[in-house]
Amino acid sequence: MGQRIVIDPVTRIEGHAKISLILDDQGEVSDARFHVVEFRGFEKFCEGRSFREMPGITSRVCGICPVSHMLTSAKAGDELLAVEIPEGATRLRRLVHYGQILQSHALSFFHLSSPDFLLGHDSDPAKRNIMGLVAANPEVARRGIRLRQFGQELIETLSGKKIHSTWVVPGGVDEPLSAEGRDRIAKGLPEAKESIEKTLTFWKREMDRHQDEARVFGNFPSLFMGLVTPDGGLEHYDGKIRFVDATGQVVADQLPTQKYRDYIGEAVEPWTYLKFPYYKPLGYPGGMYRVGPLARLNVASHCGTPLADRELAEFRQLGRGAVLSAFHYHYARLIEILFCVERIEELLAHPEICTPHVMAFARRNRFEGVGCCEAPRGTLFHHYQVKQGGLIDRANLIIATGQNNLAMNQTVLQIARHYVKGQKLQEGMLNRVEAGIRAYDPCLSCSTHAYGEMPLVVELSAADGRVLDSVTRG
Amino acid sequence: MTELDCPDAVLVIAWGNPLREDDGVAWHVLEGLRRLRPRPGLPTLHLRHAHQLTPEMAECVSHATGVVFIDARRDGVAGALRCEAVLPAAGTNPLAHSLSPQALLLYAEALYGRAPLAVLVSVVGERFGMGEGLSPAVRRSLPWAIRAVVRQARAWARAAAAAPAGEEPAPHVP
Repeated sequence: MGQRIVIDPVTRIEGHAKISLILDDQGEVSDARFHVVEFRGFEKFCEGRSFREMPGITSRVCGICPVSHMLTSAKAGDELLAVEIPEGATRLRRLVHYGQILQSHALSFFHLSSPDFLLGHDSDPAKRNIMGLVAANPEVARRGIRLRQFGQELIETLSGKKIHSTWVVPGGVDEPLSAEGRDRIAKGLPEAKESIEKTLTFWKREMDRHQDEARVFGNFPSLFMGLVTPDGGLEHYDGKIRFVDATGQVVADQLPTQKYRDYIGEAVEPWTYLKFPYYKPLGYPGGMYRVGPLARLNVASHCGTPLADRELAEFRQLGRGAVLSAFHYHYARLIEILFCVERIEELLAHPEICTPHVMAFARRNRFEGVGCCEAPRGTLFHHYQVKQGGLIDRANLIIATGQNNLAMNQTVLQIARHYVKGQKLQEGMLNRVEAGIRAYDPCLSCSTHAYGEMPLVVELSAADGRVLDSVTRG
Repeated sequence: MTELDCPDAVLVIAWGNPLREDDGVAWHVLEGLRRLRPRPGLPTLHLRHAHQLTPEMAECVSHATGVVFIDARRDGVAGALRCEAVLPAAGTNPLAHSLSPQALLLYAEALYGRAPLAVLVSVVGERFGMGEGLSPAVRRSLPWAIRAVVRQARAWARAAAAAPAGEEPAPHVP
């Protein structure tokens, strides 16, 4: 007689989800499902809006990574205008993008995930949160908060607001960067660089205590996908798509982002609102691939900045070819923070960073446009088809987190099989399942996330509905 | 907010969403404060609006001479005003993104070594739906809320002037 364990809601992630674990007659985990229970509907309610409004509208998909949506949407708008935006605008878009990635990764590592590492998966859930981290290790907590602050203030200096700005538009950006703004951002760089380097040193020591998690948190072969530069380097704003396999071999390279439908398919399942993108040549579900920091470091042959390249060389020793364990998303995020700091430094030193020429003006010249960027959590596509007058006829958004959907489901199954035993539920078991999801830093498009204090009831029920065991948190 | 923005000043943090009717009352109070002409005894006010209180505000809070939080409430008679002292505490808010004033003060104390004197000025709202603009009762309370902020800032300025050099002024209980 099969049984089901449900974790509802999953804590300390962006958005709302639940996890179901299905046990077989022997009490072993036979299947697992990661259900996304929220529905946003942006693809539908944007129909009829002007494509020029889309960056402002779609930035509200998320409160953590609104800049990524704003940029990707504006890039789709650039295609509809058929313009090449000024180099000054490209530099500023890259600058705000690096600020975005930096602050989002800082949130994920320090606020959402580090309580597990530093306080322990089996520690009191009431203290296993950022407040607990402040009490136990104020230095680490302060570093994390100030790193995020640096990124957010960079975004605010450039775009006028920390979240949901309308500064990036089709054709370029609305305002140039002032010399005062440049200097204000630059002032924060030394501390940001020192903080991330100290955190990397700390994390490389800390990882040794989590060998078990590294072994079972999403440690399986898969494809990896990400943007790369023309010479195969790490890329977040532009570039083309590369797929590599688990051995690190390039499967497909320099794929144009506008032709994403040639190589990415989307499946749906009845038990979740999140779609299942897959690599078309291998079909569904065999074409599972992963995106995000781990994937980006696997597909890139180099970072292109000295400190990040040094870290990448060390990171690669964790795998034979590609680094497979989802646990190492955390490590990859830290390397990307370092990369962002280095790139920000380079851009601020550019002699034309304050140029007033940041906008190309045009009317709609095409009826279809695809924008693509690497959001903090992975590759993001915005595809717009418009009618006369530039009103959206059809929109398709492939969200970064959705592309990890197959992998997240497999990760949950792997962890549950290792930690969930028998018919008794323990807090630590369940938190490990959740922690596996948190490694992907999923953004389920709402910037809510809760500590372990959020009321959480897990029930283990028999197929006939009898409750065999339950765990209540909060 | 950066460290440079708010040294030696009273920090006024208004939070809430102006697109959710009475939830935006704090933003309206802030706009009223922005229009105030300089007057004797009123210290520098640094005015900040945010949708939520976040940990990144802790540094700025720790540098302020005092903090006035402004927010809407749901309990009570519409338009009623409350002014209460706030002390650092972990609070019961489970959301990592949205801190309570007490938790923000705790962050300031734990991470930067100082939590200044703080009060919460709150106005009871009656409409929290989608839309701009305040309900009539809440709109009528705006001048009182502005006066409450000004009165508190002046009280702190007087206490600071009376305190021996190098000492924090005694707390003012509103």
